[in-house]
This record gives sequence, structure tokens and C-alpha cells, in this order.
Amino acid sequence: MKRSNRMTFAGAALIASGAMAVGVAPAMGASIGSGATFPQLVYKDWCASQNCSYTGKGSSGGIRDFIAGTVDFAGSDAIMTPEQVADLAAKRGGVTPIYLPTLLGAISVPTNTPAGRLKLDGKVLGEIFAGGITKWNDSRITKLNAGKRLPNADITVCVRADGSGTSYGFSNYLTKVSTTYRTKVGGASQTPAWAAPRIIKGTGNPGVAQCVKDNANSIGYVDLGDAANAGLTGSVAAIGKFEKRTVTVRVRRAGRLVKVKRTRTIEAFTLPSPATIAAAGNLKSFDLSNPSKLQYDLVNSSAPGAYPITITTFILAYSDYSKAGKSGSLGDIKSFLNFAYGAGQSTVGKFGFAPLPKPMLAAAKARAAALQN
Amino acid sequence: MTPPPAATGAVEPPGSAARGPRTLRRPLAGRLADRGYLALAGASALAAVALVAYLIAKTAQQTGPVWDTFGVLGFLTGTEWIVSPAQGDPVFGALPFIYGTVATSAIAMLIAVPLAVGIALATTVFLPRRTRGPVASLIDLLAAVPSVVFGFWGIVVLVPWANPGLEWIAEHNLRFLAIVTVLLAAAALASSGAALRGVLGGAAGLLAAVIALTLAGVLDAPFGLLEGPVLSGSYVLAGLVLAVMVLPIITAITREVLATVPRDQQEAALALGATRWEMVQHSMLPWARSGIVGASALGLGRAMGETIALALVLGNVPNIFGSLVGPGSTAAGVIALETGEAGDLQLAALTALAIILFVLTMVVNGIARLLVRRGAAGPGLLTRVMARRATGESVTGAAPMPEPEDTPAARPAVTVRVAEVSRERRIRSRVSEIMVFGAVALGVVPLAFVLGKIFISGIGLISWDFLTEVQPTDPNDVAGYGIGNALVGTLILTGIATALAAPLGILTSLFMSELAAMGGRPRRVADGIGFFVDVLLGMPSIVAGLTVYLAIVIPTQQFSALAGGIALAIVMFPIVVRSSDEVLRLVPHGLKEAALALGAPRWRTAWSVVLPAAIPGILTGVVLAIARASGETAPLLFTSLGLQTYSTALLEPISALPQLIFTFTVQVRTDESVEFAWAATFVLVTFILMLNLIARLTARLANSRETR
Repeated sequence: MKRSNRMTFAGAALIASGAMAVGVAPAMGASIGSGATFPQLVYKDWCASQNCSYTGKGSSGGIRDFIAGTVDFAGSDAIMTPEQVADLAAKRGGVTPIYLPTLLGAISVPTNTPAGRLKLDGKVLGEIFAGGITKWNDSRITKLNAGKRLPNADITVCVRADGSGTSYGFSNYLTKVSTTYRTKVGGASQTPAWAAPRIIKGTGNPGVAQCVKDNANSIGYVDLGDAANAGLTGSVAAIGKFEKRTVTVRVRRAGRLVKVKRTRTIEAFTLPSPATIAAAGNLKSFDLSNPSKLQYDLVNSSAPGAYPITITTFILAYSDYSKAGKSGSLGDIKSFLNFAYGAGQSTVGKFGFAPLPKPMLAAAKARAAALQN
Repeated sequence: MTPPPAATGAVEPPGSAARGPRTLRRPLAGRLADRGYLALAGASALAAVALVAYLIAKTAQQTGPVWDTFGVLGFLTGTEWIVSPAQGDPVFGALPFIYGTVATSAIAMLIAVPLAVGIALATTVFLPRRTRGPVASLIDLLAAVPSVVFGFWGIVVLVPWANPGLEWIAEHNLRFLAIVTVLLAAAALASSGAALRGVLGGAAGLLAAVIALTLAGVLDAPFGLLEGPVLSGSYVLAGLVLAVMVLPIITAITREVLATVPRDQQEAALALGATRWEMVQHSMLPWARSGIVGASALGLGRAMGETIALALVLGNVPNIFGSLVGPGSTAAGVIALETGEAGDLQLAALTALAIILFVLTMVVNGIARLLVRRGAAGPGLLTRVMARRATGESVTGAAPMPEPEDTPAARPAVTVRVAEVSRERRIRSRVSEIMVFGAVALGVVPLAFVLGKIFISGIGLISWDFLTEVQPTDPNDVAGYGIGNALVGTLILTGIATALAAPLGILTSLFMSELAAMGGRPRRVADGIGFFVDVLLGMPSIVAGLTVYLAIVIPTQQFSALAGGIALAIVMFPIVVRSSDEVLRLVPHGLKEAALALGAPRWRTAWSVVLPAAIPGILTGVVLAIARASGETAPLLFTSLGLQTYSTALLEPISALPQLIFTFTVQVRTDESVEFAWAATFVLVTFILMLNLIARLTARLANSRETR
């Protein structure tokens, strides 16, 4: 009987001891990062050729790990709050966070209506997500889409269920361009209090894309890569923005029609693409030394031809790695960033992102090189 | 610890006395070993209770601000959950999530429990012997499918299939559906009533149907439970997915419980002339009732604690008493979705929700235990009713029971009389059997669908490279990459978890059964431990992850495989205890008492008599627990984090298969990445299949040696 018992437990014991046996192998000590899911494909791609590993778990999760010192760097789409900065200094030997922008991305706005691709602008989007516009045939939408037949149907609004940098970027945009949104829903947030009457919350950006696909007469917001992966590229809205443009007009002068160039403020509609994303970064100078100046916030960029909902994403690094108790990982992180700002910039395009504009890249590169122990 | 040795002493002397001089040395050694055994078992039970207490204290500690801000009643009855309002402070109210948890779990249990019992019966009694094994293994396999896969199956397969139907129902309104259902029920009731009690029975059935119809109409008017619009996330969809998810675990355990019904009891029923269904009804179900309730409690625990599958198909919008084809949100769901990004007050509110979930589980399990207890104290209400009906029958028609001795001679006469009466019984048995087979069809079809999808995709992608290469980074270019690092990670994580949870869990359940056997106060202690274990069962796994994060990861500043293993062990432990407990409870008392009476010490009785009898069921429980743990994602993000490359170091981050599957279905999703995820699931399921086979083989081996 004893023997039979031993046999019986053999299975479990075998597995357990097997696991323990392999567990004795030496540590490999890659530098570890966690945080934003928005750029995770790119970071993982970069890490694959470097001695590092990245796990996407959300910007706030990354910031929490960064403060707790359980990672060597974090990914974030959002800026740390003053409390978080103070917490970091208190727990990690007085260090401050260094924001290192890594790439630009677009938040696209796919819709699912019989009318196909729509033109929308910040005011209309603000109304839709704040519950001011609830039907597709609302005159404020039809005005932008002359010639398209929009249904007399309730709008189903697809948003993120989990806290997200994408929500932060999109609500940041809506706050900047829509007074209705600002007063009814309020500032940039990872979890905005969307006020539309009919909402479905999807998990992850693919969940939002799926929601738009599955529900007729719906609208959502996802990063460009996920819109493409879900086959929604064709129904992504062109987003309007008022900008000064040089236009050619015909003017009757001395009894004849002549073509003259005039500067007019018109509403230009832009589709998200690597080119229009990159255009958002065509600003004169960047100051990365002071995060409160937010000069890397490219949402609603004034640059001509820019896609309005372009966001920047960052890697958070410690200002002093030995003070933070991470002196051993500085080398790995520097070589990772060196790769990111070099060869790495050329691979972001295949994931639907755009590389950093030149002045921004130069500033980020210099800051990364100055990281110290 | 005073009662156990005392009790041991009480049992020991008669045994040793009966044994005579040969056992002269053994009583002392035996007693010491007994004390050691009880102390060990007691210590593991104590560890479990301490763990739960610690978890609750740790979580409760963080909820202070919620009660201060909203008040207990205010939070419980609050219907709004606004994290970042435009003006003013955040508002948190728990009611919509409590409602969502109860509603989705209720729908799931309503569907899953009858199906599970039906399938379990079919695979122990009704199906041809040769097909029982395969059907049972098929069901067991599904216990290994990570919940994210079920959720994903929900959006990809279930939503497009179910929503047109739901739309049709919504368009024609519930009243129509109610009428159809009630008409069907009326027909069934009237015909069965007529069959059993003649015209009067038929009339009673019709009357009941009319009352039900009126009720349905009245209830529907204010709530519009199935009114459109039908959206891609809804209570109905979530309930369906949950039902499919909990079906395997309930079925597997119910099956084990039914398998322990003594053979002679079944054969006695059949010998008395009972039909197969009557045998099931009178000799199997009453015996197994407590076990079925236990199995359902396990399933309910999983349903109430489920996060990611629901997050994918429920729509995640807090919503009370709304249409069931519209979105809702559950406590576990919102905890999993918002914890990662929560601010301070929000985190406190989420933790408070976790505590409410604890309490909900406690209440439900408490009720279940009460029901079982009442049944255990004497014949339950159901049994008594049946007994009365059985005796009534034997008065009106002559059952063959009274004259068992003169069978050969009396047979022809009895058969004639039986045939006359047994038409009703035959009909009833036949109808019940048809329902059992219907349950098999209804339950096995969606499960086979899920497995089929996994196998077809899996076989297409599986290769040596797939098993050994590291994970891909580009979801649009997975060729040449594999799951090697994730597979190794999962083996290590579940290995650690099993090494911790299985011995502790089995010891705890042994301790509980020892205490229960003593009766009186020890028995109440055993019930108390069982209660704690049930609480652990209903805990969303992310809470286990968070606790380990706070207790181990942050102090050591290190994500590690070890921390992940511990978190998974917390997930496994209650499943091991609960399932072993159910099985141990059913080991015939006589066996144990015989061993004790022969002078065997308690530890020896447990080791050589009780465990061998219970081992198949215990192993099933352990495999189920491994299956559950190896599919977990949420707690790992907080503990073992994940790693892109191979690692076998216990004190470094490590990757895991379900995390890879999660990344490639929920975080990014392309056609290629989804196929990759199905194939990864295939490997995970195969791993569990192998464990299952090993468990079954060893159990069979043990049993065959037993009988020799």
C-alpha cells in the first residue's frame, strides 16, 4: 500500500522537483521596464536586440513600479503628478524622473456608419463624448459631411474600460478643443467620466476597435496600429482643425478673373498617417529639461499639416541611478536608449508610429547620454 | 490542539489492547507519529486561516478613506462610479457592481449547474461505458483553458452567433419569449400532470402555467429585461460565457463525487427493481448532494471572481436593472480593470469592493453549507418527499420490493403488475434520461467548439521551433518565433505553486476531516476552516497578486518567479482543499473506523486507508487547481511581471504562457497574433491533458494494487 501511495504522488512530485531543478540556473540580470501599453510593441522590438525586457501593464502601473524601484525604467504616456514626484524622491534617495520622449503616435477615430469615412472635428467629438450629440444625423455632423447620408440612429460610443494612456491623450485633446467637453467631462484623464448616454467599454485598444466593428452606428478611439489591425483604416475619420493656409482664389480685378494667393483660416481635415503624425513635431524648438513646460505635448499641434490627435510617449528614467539603488543597470539602459535614438527610430513606422522630429530627437539623445550613476 | 491527542488516546488503547504484546512498542511511537501528523495538518490549516486573515486585514486596512468619505451605507447603495469628474470630487458607489456580480453569476449558475449534473450523470451512469472516459476528459481539458481564451471565444464566436438571436428576441419583446417558454412549460406540466395524476393533474399543470404567464407579463412591464438595443457587451453574453467557463470545474468534481457512491448501494437499488433513473434519484443524488453543492460553490467562486473574460463581453458599464442585453459591470471586473491605474481613493474603493466580494462569497457559501447541513442531519426534504411518494406508490400499485426472496417463482406475476404501474415510472425515467442526454448535448457542443478551434489552430502552427523559440515582438510577423520562454516560465511558476499548494491543501483537508470525525467543537472548527477556504475561493485572483506585490515584491524591490508562484499557490490552495474535502468526506466511515479499530494510528489510517480511497478525486482536484493557476494572467503582472527572454532564475522576472496569450489577444490583436494565441493555448491545454492522464493512470494503478 505504501508503494501505491508513492506511485500516486509521483506525478506531482516530479513536476515540482523538475521546476525546482531548473530554478537553480544563474540569474541573467536584464534591465527591466514596465508601463504604457501604447508603445509596447516598439519597446519590445527594441529590447529584443538589447539586454532588456519590457512588459505592458498601463502607464500608472509603470509609474507605480518606477516609484517602488521594482523596475529599471518605466513607460508612460502621462506626466507624473507632483505627489508621485515627491513620493519618488522620498523612496528612491531623492531622485527626480527624467522624461525621455521616444516616438510620436496618433489616436485615430474609427466610426461604423453606412456613410463610410467621415469628417469630424474637435467640437463635434467633444459633443459626442460629452453626450451633447446623440444621433448621427445631428446637423452639426451633417454640416461637416455634406453629401453623405447619415442615419437617424443613436450613437454607440466605444471607450476604454481600463485606465489608459490612449484615453489620457484623447481626453487631453478634447479638453483643449471643446468647451462642452471641458465643462461636462473635464480635463485629461486616464479614466475620463464620459457622459454619452450609450457607452460600451472595451478592454484594451483592440477591445475598443472590436466594439466599433461589432456595434452598428458606433464611434471609438484607438491608436493607428490597432485600427489597422482591426481592418478599420478605411473608416477612420479625418479630423478637422482651423489653420492658416495659403489658398489660391480668383478675384475679379479690372474686369478680369485673376488668381491671387491669400492667407485664409480654413478648417483642414487631416487623416492620421506617419507623415501627418511627424508633421505635428515640426515645431521650432524643444525644451526637455522642464517637464512642467510640456513642450513635448504635441496634441493639437499648430504645425501645418499636422494630425491634431498626435501624442508623445515617454520612457521615465531615474536622474541618478546609484542614488536610486540601480547603479548596475545604467549601462544596459544607456545602450538601450542609444539604440532607441539611433537605429530604433527607423523601425517605429511598421507599428503605426512616427519617429521623433529632429530637434526633439537631438534633445532627447543628449538628455539620455547625460544619465548618471 | 488539546482535543486531537485526547481523542487519539481514546481510540488508541482498545486497539493496542486487542493487538496484544506484539504492539507493545507501537502505541508510543504511533501516538507520537499521530501527534506529529495532526500537528502538521493543523499547522497547514492554521497557515491557511492566517493567510486569509492576513489578506483580509491587509485589504481592509486600505479601505478606510472610502468609509470615511461615503459612509458604509452610502458606499453600498451608491449607484455612481465617477473616477475623474469634471467638477468636484470622485464618487464611488458599489451597488451596480454588486448587482452585476450577482446577475452574471446567477445566469451562469442557472445554466451551468443543471448541465454539469446532467453531464456528470451521463458520464457515470447513462452513457455507454466506452464513451464515458472521452467525454469526461474533454470536459476536464476545458478547465485548463485560460479564462482570457473563453472571453476571446465569446467575442469572436459567441457574439456574432448569439446577438442576431437576441436582437430578434428584443424586437419581439420579452413577452413573446415568455409566452413561448410558458406555453412549452405548460404543455410539459400538463402532460406530465396528466400522465401522473390524470385529469386533475393536467388541470393543475395548466393552472400553474397560467399563473406563470401572468407573472412573466407583470414582471416584464416595468423592467423590460430583454429590450433592445442589443450591444456587443451584455449581461446575457457574459452569463453564457461564464456558464461555459464554470461548467468543466462543476462537472469534474460532481463526477468524482458520483463515482464515490458505493457500488452496492447502486446495485441494491437496481436489484429492487428501480429503473436507472430511479437508482440515480434515490441512491446517487442524495448521497452526492453535499458534493454537488460543494462543486457548485467552486464554480460560483470562479464565476464571481472572474475578471478578464467578463471584461471582454460585459461592456463594463455600471448599470442596474437595465436590459439584460445591454452592458453591465462586475466587482471583480472593475477591480481588475482599474487597479492598474487607480489613484488613492479609487484604490481604496476598489479594495472595498474586493471585501464586499469576500462577504458575498461568504453569504452564498454559508447558505449552501446550511442547505447541505440540513440534508446531512437527516433525510432532506427532497428525500422525504420522494420516500413518501415511493411508499404511496407501493400501496396503490404493487412494487416488487416486498418480496425479494421468491423471485424466480413470482417473476411472471410481478412483471405483469409492474408493467401496469411502471408505465408512469418508465415515462418519468425516460423523460429524465432524455434531459440528461440533452444536457450532454447542450454542454458538450460549445465546449467541443472551443476545443476544436484550439486544436485546429494549434496543430497548424505547432513545430519544434514554436515550442523552443522566444516570443515574437511584431504581431504581424510571428513566423519563426515561439513560446519557448513562456512555456518554461509557466512550468516553473505552476511547479512552485503546486509544490506549495498541493501538500498544504491536502493536509488542510485531512485535518478538517479528522476534526469533523471527532464531532462537537472540533467539527465546528473544521466548518470554520472550510468557511475560510470558501472565502478564498471567491477572491479575484488579482487580489492575491496585489497582496504578494505589497508583501513580497515591494520590500524586496524585485519581481520574481518565486513571488508569482506564491500568488498562484494562493489561487490553487482553496481549490485543492475544497475538492479534497468533498472527496474525503465521502470515504466510507466504516473503512476508517475499521482501520482505527484494528489499532492503526490516525496517521497510518489517513495514509494507508483514507488517502488511497480518495486519491483519484484528490488528484482531479489538484489537476483542476493547476489548470486554473496555469491560466492566470492578472496576478502575474504584479508578481512575476513577464520577461521577453528565457530565464530559469527564481529571483528574476519570468514570462508565462497566459500572459503571452493575453498580450496577443487583448493588448494587440491581428489575425496572425490570434492564431498564435490559439496555438499557445493548445500547448497549455496539452500540458494539462498530460497531467490529467498521469493523474488518472497513477490513480488507477494505486487502485488496482489496492484490490490485489
